[in-house]
Amino acid sequence: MPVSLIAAVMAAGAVAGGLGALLGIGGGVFLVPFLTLALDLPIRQALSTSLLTVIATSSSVSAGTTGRRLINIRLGMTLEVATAAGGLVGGITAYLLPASSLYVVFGCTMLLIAGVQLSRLNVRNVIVDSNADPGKYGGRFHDDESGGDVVYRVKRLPLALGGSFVAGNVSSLLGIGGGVLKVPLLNAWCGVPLRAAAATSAFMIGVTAASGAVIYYGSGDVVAPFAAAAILGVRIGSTAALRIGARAKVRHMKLLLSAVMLVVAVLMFVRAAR
Amino acid sequence: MTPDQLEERLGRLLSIGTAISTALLAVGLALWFGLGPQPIVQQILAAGIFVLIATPVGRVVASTIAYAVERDWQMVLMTALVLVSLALSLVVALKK
Repeated sequence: MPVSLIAAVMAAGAVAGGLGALLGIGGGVFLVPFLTLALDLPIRQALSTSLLTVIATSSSVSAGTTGRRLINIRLGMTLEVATAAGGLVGGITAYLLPASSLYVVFGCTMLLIAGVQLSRLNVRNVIVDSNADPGKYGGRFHDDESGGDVVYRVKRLPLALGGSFVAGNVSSLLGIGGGVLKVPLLNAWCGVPLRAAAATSAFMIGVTAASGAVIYYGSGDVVAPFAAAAILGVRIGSTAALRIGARAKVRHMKLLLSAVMLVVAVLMFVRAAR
Repeated sequence: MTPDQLEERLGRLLSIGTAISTALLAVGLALWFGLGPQPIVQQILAAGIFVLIATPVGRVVASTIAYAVERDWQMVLMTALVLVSLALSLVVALKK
């Protein structure tokens, strides 16, 4: 294994980790296409490497955002029931289904969500009244953009659970955190502000990815030096991005997230066509 | 324990797990460059990956305990269901 290849994996991890931390997604959406298309790694090695970086991102980002009340622990742990079950089912079906059809479905889903996200660029979910009742699953946090404490309520919990199951499934199948599905879903349909949705999703994806990673590890598809290089790269990238993330405007984050999804969709179609 | 305290403790658990796994992986990778794929190097890297995967799982276990102390049975049930899912993944992995 040449040193340059490991250095390339590490650099890819840094970029993916940085974007992932910024957007509340695992970053696997960049890492998997990069490892398979650019570095020509076997698909399952790429998937397992990516899943492990997702866990690293989740743990370090969540540790870094605690104290700001952005992580909705009650909502996250409830949705984790669905993502962990989805991750388990996905890990099993990863060895049964033809990959090309999955890439197409995934690409289409990305396009759909990017469209929804772009159509809601200027809609915000926060209630700028710190005395409002957040309800059982809602939350309250300090929002710099509104200049005070804001409250939100969670709508359509069953939809969030269903979406989380699908996200968990996709996580294991495609080596990503699943945040790329959950964050827009929670934001656009379930009333969770983008920052809280991103933080809660980042908190959840470690557990989601763990259920898939265990299955890949058991199948012998984890290459330790690649995993270590990618994880260390992700640590560097996500640490750097966290400093920027707190200052980024929500509108810019939505635009960046949509752009990311369009790129991912194209990459997935290219992959399917091969 | 208030939700803020729980968040703080879980955050501390996650940062400790992250620090240990990062240290193991960094040392393992450095040794891998220096010594090549020796058994001890492989073991250090495997230990790093183990701690990495165990960290979020440990976070769920800690939450289950915290909610049980609070007698928040609905959340105990939720976190326990997550642990059942993770245990089933391990069963699938061991069968491979």
